[in-house]
Amino acid sequence: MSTPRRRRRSGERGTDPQGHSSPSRSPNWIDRFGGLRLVLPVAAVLVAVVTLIWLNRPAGQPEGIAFTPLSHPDAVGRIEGNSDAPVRVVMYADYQCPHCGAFFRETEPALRKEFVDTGIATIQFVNFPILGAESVRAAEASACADVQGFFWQYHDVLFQNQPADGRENVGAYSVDRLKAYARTVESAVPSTATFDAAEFDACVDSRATSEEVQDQLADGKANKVTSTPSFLVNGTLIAGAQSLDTFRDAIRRAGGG
Amino acid sequence: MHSHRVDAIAVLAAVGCLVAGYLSFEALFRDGAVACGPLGDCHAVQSSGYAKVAGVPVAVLGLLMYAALLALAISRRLGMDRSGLLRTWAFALALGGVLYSAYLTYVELFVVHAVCAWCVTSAVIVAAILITSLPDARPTTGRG
Repeated sequence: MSTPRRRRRSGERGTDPQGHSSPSRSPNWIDRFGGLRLVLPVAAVLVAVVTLIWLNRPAGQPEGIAFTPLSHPDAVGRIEGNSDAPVRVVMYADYQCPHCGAFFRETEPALRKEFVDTGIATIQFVNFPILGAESVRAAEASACADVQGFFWQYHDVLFQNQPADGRENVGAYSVDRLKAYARTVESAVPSTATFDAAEFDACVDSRATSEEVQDQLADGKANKVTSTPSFLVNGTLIAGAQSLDTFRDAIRRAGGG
Repeated sequence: MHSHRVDAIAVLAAVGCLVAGYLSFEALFRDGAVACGPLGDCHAVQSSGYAKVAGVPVAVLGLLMYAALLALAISRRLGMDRSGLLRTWAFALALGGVLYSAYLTYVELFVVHAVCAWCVTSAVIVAAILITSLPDARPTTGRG
């Protein structure tokens, strides 16, 4: 009755020890998986799991956050570098200020490599938020990051996500994004694994560091800072995102090489 | 044989309730200050942005799942599964638990970069429940 070809195909489906082909049913896929009694609960649970994973995305994780982790081996709080260094560069900056962003991208890496990594100078960042509400909230969030020990990484992510068109107070430093930046840092930098997201969110929401930021602003004003970025190189004021040569001269005059 | 399997599921679910219950207590009342032992960093995991779903600690979801598995197992032992629905729901629930645990373990390893020994314990328990429940996924399995 069955052709050799048919027999072979039956044998693939299942043969008894004697090699006789077994009668084969062709159940539909629901029967194959145990009937509706099993398929429905499994489907319901799978939908629930996918929903939970969807909801489990970190709160306020907007698209388009860029972050390239930078090395900050000798950072303590807002100060970076050897504490015995003869020169102290204090940098007053606003995260929304385009010139501060340009300095961060173009001059700060070279300054760090030439003078901080070599133990000649320390850099201290001081918040000087003068460009509106998002400047203040970003400064406060950076102080919250400082509380949790990753100020410089947070400082980096804030500057790396400055709007390219230089616009200010357009949501780049909204509360949701400030929280998302922290999570981005946490994801990318293993040493920040102790980051407490709930504590950070609470710090940002309650503006727990507001007074600290206002103190930093007052410190700048007391040192005659009126614009950002501004720098004090062992007390000598440099206003503006000056060239590396300007800083070389200032640091040498201050006794650093 | 079948009743032994259900007993084993009940015991595993009860242990799961203890683990998830402890983590839920810490998450709800002690800000995630989990005693972790030498293995891993439970605090980092518990305090990360992934430890809550819509404001509800993941540990509480785990506790609910284990409690449901325990209730289903007890109901089966009491002969309340004449229709066979309870065993399939128990299997489906365990399958969901394993899949979600796999997702959470991935998050621990590759996103949070910290491992919580309690979470790993829970993942092992729910995997054991799923393996024990596998015969319940077969339509020919006896009803309990």
